[in-house]
Amino acid sequence: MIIYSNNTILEKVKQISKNDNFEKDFFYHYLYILSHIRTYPFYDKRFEAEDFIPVHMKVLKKMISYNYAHKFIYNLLEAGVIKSDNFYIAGLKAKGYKLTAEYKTEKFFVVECKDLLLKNKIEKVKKLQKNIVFEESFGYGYVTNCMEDLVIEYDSAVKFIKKYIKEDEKEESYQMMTALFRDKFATVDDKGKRLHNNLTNIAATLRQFITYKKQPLVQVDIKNSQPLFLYLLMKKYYIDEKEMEKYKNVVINLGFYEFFAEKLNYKLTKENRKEFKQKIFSGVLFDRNRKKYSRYEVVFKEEFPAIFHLIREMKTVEYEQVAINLQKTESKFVFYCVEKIAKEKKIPMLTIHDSICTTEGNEESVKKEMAKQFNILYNTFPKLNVEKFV
Amino acid sequence: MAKLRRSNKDPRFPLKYKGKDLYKEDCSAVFLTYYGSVQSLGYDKSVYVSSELGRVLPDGSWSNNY
Repeated sequence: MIIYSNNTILEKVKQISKNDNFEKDFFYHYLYILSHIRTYPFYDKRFEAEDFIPVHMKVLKKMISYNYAHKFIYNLLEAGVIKSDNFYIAGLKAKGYKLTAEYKTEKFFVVECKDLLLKNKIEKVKKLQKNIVFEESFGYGYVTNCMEDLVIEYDSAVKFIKKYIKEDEKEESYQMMTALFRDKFATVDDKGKRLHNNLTNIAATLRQFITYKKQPLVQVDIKNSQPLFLYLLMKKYYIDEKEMEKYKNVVINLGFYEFFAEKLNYKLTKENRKEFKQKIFSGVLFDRNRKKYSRYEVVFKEEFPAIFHLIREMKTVEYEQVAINLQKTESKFVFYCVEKIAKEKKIPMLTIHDSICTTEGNEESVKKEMAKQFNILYNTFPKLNVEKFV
Repeated sequence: MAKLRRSNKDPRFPLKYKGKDLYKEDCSAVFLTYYGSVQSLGYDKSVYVSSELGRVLPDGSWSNNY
């Protein structure tokens, strides 16, 4: 459990807890509420730092104190540390709160909670939330366990942020990501079954400071992963064999995006490569169906007519469905590989959706098993890249 | 009230982006296909697509410096 606070808040809360007429010292209870309000946008990014954060009284009572939760909020309002939007609708919207200007401007840092009773209570609730991930499958649980030993080199990361991140808002987000990295969360989204945690959400530039028991990390990722998983998905449907073989050859040997660049007479350079890939991807695979085809779609239709029409058909029913199915195929495969490897070798494994990360020296085991499973399950041999966290 | 009713249908919305409350119909198709849950959002409201493509933002542009 992590409390994120600053000196102004600490001073004020000391006063509040001293004068609140409770027999017990609820210093950390107040701090926890304020920390929750401050860090909530980090966990639920629909919200921004300036927003009123919903505080569900039922949840707060369960988390910190059934009898006094109301009073804590009241005391913080009275003291002018927080303010409320005073707006709620039963069953729809909880009252929102935010820190007042005076208490949010100073630099925040992590404070250790010394109230063990409160700490245990909150950690128990968090553990229950994580259990949902463990129930998903052995692979999800294995990765979530490995996450606990992942550490960010705090001082180096902060130095990096100060040196390279110039925009205020971005700097604040990066600082918070780094500071809250210790507070491990894990959820699985119901749509694509992707696992989300501190590693999947941290900015890629900060990954270089993450280690597993002081060992550096590498990731094994699948080249052309989304077009490849599309191929695996398409195998479930009846499509002309020749066309499927051609598509497979393009994805695995020629390179999906490189093939399109050639067909469109587009010269790929180091500078434009990523942008081109992104255009092809959104222009062909996942845009809404439009009456007029984009130039990318025209090429795709010419080269792979049956696949093109099947994608259009699937998108007519629900255009999100294609990508959701891709993510499900991807997650199923990645966690199946984790499971297979873990049952043979207890090596550390983390995932970033379409890639498996491990400690340096174990990458060959991961790569070998992924290649083996691609062969067994789909009779394909995609290219697998190994990259350091840099 | 109307907005609240809309948001209640899908817990992923409204989503604050560049100071505005966005609903499903305001977001790009590519973004929506990868926006599985609120935990999939990055600090800049982008969602992860793949290791080689990176992350896409609600308006359909790509977050190349995440």
